[in-house]
Amino acid sequence: MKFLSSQRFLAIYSGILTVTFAITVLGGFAADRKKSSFEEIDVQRINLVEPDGTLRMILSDKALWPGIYLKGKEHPHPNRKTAGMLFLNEEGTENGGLIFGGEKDKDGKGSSHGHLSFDAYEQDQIFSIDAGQEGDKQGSSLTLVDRPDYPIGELIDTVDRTKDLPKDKQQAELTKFIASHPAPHARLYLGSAGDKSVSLKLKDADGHDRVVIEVAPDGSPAIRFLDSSGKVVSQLPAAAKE
Amino acid sequence: MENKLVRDVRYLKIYSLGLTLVLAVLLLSAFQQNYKTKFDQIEAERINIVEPNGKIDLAISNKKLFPPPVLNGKEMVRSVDVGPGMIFFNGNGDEQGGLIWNGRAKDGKYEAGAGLLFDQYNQDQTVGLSYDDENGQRSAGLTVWDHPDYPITEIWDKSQIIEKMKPGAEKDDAVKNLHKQWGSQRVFVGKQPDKSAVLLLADLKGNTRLRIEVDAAGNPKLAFLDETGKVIYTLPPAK
Repeated sequence: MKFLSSQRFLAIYSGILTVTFAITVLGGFAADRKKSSFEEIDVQRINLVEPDGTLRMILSDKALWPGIYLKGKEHPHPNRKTAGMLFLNEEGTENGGLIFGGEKDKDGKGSSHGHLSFDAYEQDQIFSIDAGQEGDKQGSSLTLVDRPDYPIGELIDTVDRTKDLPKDKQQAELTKFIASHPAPHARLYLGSAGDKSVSLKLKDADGHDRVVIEVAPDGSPAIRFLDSSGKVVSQLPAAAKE
Repeated sequence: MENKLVRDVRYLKIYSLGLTLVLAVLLLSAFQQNYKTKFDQIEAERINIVEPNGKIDLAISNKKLFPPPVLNGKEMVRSVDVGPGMIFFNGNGDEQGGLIWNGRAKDGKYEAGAGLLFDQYNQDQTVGLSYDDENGQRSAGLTVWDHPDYPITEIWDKSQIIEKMKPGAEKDDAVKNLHKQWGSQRVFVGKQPDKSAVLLLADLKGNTRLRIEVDAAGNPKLAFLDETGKVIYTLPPAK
């Protein structure tokens, strides 16, 4: 009895309590860091991060789908709301992605999209594979695009800066931005189009078709060489359809 | 004496209020942790990315727990052995594509393959990058397919009926007919098992109509074909 009520006991007891607390807290931190094993996980979103917290990849549902990441900062995206994966570079800037979706609308019309793309540095996609369908119109393709050199952050700044303006003023600012900056140009297209044709199109630096290798919707094959104004300068089989 | 008691009660009130607040903060932060959790590494046989209502968007899975194909709300059986990999699901919860890979050695031979495929709505794959290798007979490339506008489940239902037919010419015809309904390959660019590199463009029925090729011997060729497969024009011109 005397021992239990002594100051010595209180000192030992508080010592033990401190150690227990320290172990619990440290153990808690350790648990956060360990490798965890599961049979199956249901989750809305997974972020892959570097040890310093830099985001490198996001796997997400539609509800928690991120905006655009630029040097670690998230900006709202005007219209991209989908499920999929987003890739980010060493600087935490968006680098590409794999997205997909589709559903039946109220009129029973099915739509569908699948998309894998990789971006130029601080710019939009330069390589993409797409599958798309709107009702009975479907297209699937591989596309290569030349992007201009300006950082896409300038475009995002313009959108952020004008987001509280009325819609028409917002659009005017956007039009002004696009007019004062170099445009992207598609350089290669390979795929099937909504008109049931399939083709390989090689384009010049201004985006004009210069070689078109095609099987038309009626099944007839042709190769056409064009000038920059779109005029056919040569065709194979020779002058089959001029 | 009375004063001390009042003071003690007040301390007790302040103390219990403080403890309640601490407890509340702890509880709330516990919920917060449930919302966002940190791990260095996660090991799982399968991970599902789901919407708040539980609808699945994406499954990353080993072979054992690989999801069966569900299209137009109907669960079917895969015609080929698939997994591990990822499966993408659309807004209806139907399969919409996937990223798959595999490879195994058996009896001194091997099989390997990989593919990223996106599906047409309620249908099979419409564009994809793929690699297929059977003991060195390998192809790799980008392919585009066309499929009918009706759901693939209609073709599946027919295949189940044909499955039960007696072996014979009638069944063979039915299988051939059904295969035509599946759709057609419209575009292929890549390398083929005969070691040629090609660009093939096909008509709606899947007949190759334009072929640009460098064959295994290194000869470049360009050929235009009619719908029966007859070459109607070549470059360099045929000797």
